[in-house]
Amino acid sequence: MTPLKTTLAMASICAAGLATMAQADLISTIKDRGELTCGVHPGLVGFGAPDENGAWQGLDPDFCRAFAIAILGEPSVKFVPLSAQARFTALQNGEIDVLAQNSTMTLTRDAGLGLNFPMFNFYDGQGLMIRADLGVTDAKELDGASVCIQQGTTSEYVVRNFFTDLGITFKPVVIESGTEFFSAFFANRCDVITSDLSQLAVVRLTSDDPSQYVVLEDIMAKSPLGPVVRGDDKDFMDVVKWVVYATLTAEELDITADNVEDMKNENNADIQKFLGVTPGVGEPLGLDDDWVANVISSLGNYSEIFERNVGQDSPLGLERGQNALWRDGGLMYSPLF
Amino acid sequence: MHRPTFRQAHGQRIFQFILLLGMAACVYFVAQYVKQRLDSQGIATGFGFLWDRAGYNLGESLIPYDGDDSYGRALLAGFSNTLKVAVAAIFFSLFLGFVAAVAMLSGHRTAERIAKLYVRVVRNTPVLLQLFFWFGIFTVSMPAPRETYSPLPHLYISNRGINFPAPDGTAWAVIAIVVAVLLAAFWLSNQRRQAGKSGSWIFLLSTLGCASLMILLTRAGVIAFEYPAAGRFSINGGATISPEFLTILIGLSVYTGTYIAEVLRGAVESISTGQMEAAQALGLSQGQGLRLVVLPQATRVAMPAVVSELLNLVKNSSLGVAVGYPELVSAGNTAMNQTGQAIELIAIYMLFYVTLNYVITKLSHVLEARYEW
Repeated sequence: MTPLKTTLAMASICAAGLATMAQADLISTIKDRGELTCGVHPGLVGFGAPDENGAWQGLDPDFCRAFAIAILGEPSVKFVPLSAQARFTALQNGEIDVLAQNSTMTLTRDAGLGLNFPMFNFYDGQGLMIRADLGVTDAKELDGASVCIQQGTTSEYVVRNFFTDLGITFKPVVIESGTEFFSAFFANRCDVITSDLSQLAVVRLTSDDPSQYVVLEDIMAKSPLGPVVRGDDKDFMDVVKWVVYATLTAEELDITADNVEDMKNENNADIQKFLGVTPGVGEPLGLDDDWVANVISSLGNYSEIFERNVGQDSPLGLERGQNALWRDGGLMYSPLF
Repeated sequence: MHRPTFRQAHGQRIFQFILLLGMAACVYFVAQYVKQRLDSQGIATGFGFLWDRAGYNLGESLIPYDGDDSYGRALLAGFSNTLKVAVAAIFFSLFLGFVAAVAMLSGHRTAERIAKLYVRVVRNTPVLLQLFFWFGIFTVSMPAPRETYSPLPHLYISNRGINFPAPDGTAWAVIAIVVAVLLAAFWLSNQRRQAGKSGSWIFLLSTLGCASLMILLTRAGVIAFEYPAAGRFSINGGATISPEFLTILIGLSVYTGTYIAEVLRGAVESISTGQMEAAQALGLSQGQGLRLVVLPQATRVAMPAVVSELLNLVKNSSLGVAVGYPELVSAGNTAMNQTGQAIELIAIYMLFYVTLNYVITKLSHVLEARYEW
């Protein structure tokens, strides 16, 4: 290479490194693209897994659809399955618009990664599942047990604190791949597997013989789950936040996918505004006024989404528990529309 | 190649200096830009986290480490595991490669076929897939901890790993002395043999002596072993080789062994048959011809390629993260997840791997120099 060529090559590398990515606001980008990209769990029945036709089903994919309907008027979503370890990086570098992958909100993730957790859509807790034949009923009896932990989650930290506080030891087996993580437990490589309680319920149910495994009653840590967005686009964050609130408010007002059209004629100013009969809910978010009605008519309210995917109408059969509305003794509480 | 004149050399040096300066400036600007971007996105930067409490445990580590130690210590512990598996796998893969190469060159039909099958199958499948295969073997196929297989007293094999008696402190000291004595005896007998005297008896005698000394000391209770015993959940105590370590060790050795076998075979075949014929014409036997004429030349040919396969092996050890072996990348990925400082941690990975592979390359240059003539 001649000196000139070398210099030019170097200059071009330098320029490429410095090239700035032009960033328009996310809502218009999604409208131009006609599609929302959403990061989901690669395979967790009830929370995000492809069905036999390859369509993504679950609580998280349904919320992805809700965001798309609010912005585009139709559920055009490109689902990107992501491992626990890769998910936040994929969101940071713009590969996806929003992450809905059973992600627990922590201080570091919310404040240190340049990300934002606008609100929670599932209250969970971290628990332990163990083989029934070991006869363990209390976590205190687990001294010296091997624990399967999935990498990229909050589990590694939580497990250590929990066992140290109890004054007992454990042997961690930390595995990144989701499949290997479960198969290691089922192959008896570990005595205990730890994850969010909802996930343990799924894993137990999808095993060959669920009666062989018990989920212990100890809850090691709270695990509030919710969609995640980048911190640099407040408008998009607002949309994500208020879409989730809309599903909760619809449940409060007893608006369902079936009765949403009838409810529009209800002589109630709140409901009329909420469903876009009278203007008000669209403009502050930069959306059309009928976005709530669109979301509810195709996906239903929070209760319908919950029961269909993880609740009584699903194989998982989870109770609403903490995820019930505040008026029913749960934690779900939506501000005013 | 002609030597550049003083003027040319001078000009080149100035140009190189400018080039270097330009590259440094480029790196600086890119780093500045990245920092600025990360700041604007609100992503934390800097290496300060290395001194913070890590708060997570590792399944095993060569150097003492506990969750109360710092992230920096966690990374070092992970690196110690990388070193452990890399060194062990280098020996195993060289051994496997050598055996397979000898089998392919032996002219023995069955041996040749088996070796070729091994190379074909293993070399043509992805290494990650093979690691999952071995992970299945060592976790799913091995007996569960309560049905432990015990081929020898105090030796337990299960899907929790291999448990065997661990020597105590005094025992380690005795083992160290024994190894030193045996090495000295080996050297001495070699010296004598080269001088044309019989030397094997020195080595044999000291081996016997050391063995009886070990047995005597164990019987007398001077040195003791910590024996593994069945606990509530699994075998506790003694020393353990974890299934994750076995997975990555066997997986990488078997995989890299195929490449080494092919390199060695190719190297021997690259030496023209005339060399062997000439050796035999000089009155050397087939074995002598191979040892004194063909192999030294073949080694010289094979060395750079073998070293580059070994460097690949070291880098592939980072796949331990997929099968739960707590090596550098596994330990670092947890730190990355907890602190969110991906760029810093990847820079640290690079630093560790470059340093390790630089040391291996330097060592190989020393070896290569012995085959220069």
